[in-house]
Amino acid sequence: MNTHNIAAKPLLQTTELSMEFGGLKALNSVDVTVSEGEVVGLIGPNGAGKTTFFNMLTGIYAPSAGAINMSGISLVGLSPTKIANLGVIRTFQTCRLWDDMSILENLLMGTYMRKKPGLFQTLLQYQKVKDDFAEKADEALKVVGEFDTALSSDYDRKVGELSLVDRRRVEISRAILARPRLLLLDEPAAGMDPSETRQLMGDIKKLQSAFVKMGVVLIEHDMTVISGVADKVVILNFGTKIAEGSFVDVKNNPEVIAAYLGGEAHA
Amino acid sequence: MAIDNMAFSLALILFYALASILLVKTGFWKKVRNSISDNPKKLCLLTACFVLATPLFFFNNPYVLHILTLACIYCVATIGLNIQVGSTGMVNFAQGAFFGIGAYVSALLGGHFGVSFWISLPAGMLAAGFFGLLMGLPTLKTREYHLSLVTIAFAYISFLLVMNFDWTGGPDGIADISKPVLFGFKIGQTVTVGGVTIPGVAFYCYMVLAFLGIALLVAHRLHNSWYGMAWNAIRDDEISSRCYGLSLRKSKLEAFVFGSLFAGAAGALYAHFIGFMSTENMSFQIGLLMVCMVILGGMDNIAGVLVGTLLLIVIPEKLRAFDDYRMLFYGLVLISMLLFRPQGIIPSKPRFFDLKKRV
Repeated sequence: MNTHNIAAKPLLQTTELSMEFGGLKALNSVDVTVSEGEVVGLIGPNGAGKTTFFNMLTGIYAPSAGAINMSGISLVGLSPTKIANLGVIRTFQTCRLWDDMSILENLLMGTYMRKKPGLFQTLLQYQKVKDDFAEKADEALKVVGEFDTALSSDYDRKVGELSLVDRRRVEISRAILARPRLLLLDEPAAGMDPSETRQLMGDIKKLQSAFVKMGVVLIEHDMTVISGVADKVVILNFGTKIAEGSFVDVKNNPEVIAAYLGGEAHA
Repeated sequence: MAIDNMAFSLALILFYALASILLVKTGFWKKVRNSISDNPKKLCLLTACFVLATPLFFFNNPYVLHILTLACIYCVATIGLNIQVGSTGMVNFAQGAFFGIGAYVSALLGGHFGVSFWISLPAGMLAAGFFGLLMGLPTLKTREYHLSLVTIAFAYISFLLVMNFDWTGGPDGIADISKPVLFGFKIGQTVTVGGVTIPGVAFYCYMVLAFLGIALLVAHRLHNSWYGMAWNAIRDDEISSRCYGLSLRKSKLEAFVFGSLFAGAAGALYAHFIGFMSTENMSFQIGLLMVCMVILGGMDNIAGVLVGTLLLIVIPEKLRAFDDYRMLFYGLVLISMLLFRPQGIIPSKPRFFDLKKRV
């Protein structure tokens, strides 16, 4: 039915999105479009407004101006809870897991928005709750087992004790378990060594083929990841979009080179 | 006499301290712990039998039964408080107030309108739950210390209101609260069967144990369900909880309402047990004591909370000789726990999931 040949429908569209903190313009009229099944790489120097962009998409900040449209629904002014329920799921640069909960509990909470037993079942038909947990736990351990079987066999460990890489894996697995329509990954490869990074790239590609309609926005400083997985690259500098296109195109853009290496930005 | 009592109490403390050190040093404690974690079901059964048998041995000593009943009533309130303090991380000092609301509503309904205990207890619970919701609404805008301040304010406001209303009996409280009647049998009357005199408190004790059993079952199921998971997630990280679709508003209010329902039930049980209810029993100190119980026993662990409550009810009774220093003792317990073992006597554990499909 929906093959890649048909022109992909736009999933997320921001128009003239701006964010001001006091006098500081963190983002200035940014237009970004993410289509279904597309992986968009969001790059830029530190302080360019990449994470601010994510915070606005997920409702943590309300934009000062501009519009965010998610397949026909405006996300401006909605709470993070509502936005998550619309299928926008993110990971965090600093890995915000629930540290005192176990690996499996964290993963299960990723499925929180799915159908689950209510109060009546919890109090009077407890077996249903158990079955529901068992079923979802099975799926959760399969997902995290794709990354590392050590994580799926040692699922009772508290995530607070895990290494940074393992925490990222748990976080990405948790995001996948939420079955996002739009997945926002904030520097997933930070702190990973080259082989782990390669594995991560493989996993992102696997995700793409498993969920063909899911859009992904990826913030990353590691250009091998961006060149490897991104269909389109958007470059931010001082809150302004300075370039957009395929990785090869933007790599040679003089403005981009200036932003990254310094110097005058005159094309 | 007082000196003798003091010396005896000190000797007792020393004995227990030495005994516990010996138990840990000889490795016996580890063995016990392992056997506990190996068969949790057997342990539950054993404990239940033990608890049910205990009152039988004290038919000639109603005082012990009285303390046991009191401890069980407090347990109902503290496992409710644990939902807020332990699971959700909201340190609520107003549990004493909800305890009082449950007690007063049940006692007044029984006294003024002759309503049966079996109706006035749920009414007390519902009233406490309603006020829990009411207090929950302003606390949604606050967090951590500020949230605790709101609960302290609520505890004082409700205390002062009850103290100053006429229809609550004011500072005199309510006396002669009737005992519950079940199928024509007054729970709390002394019965002589075949030469054995069973004190009334034994019957009340069993009734409270039944209520505690229900409370434990409900608390256990809530903890090991999506409710408990959501509460833990909110405790650990509010922002990421919201980004995964949790409604903070809904979950926090649920935590307040469920916790208050438990407190209301405990309050009603208390009022009809003692037969007298005054503002002294719903003061800020009661709420503080309950928070101490939860922190001592183990936050977010129901068994731990039971242990903490039992200890903080029984120890002060044993140390009657030092009654003047009671508050000092609570403070000491709280500070030393927070310093040396912040996770409590029995810390929380990851939930157990029945992973059937995995080999």
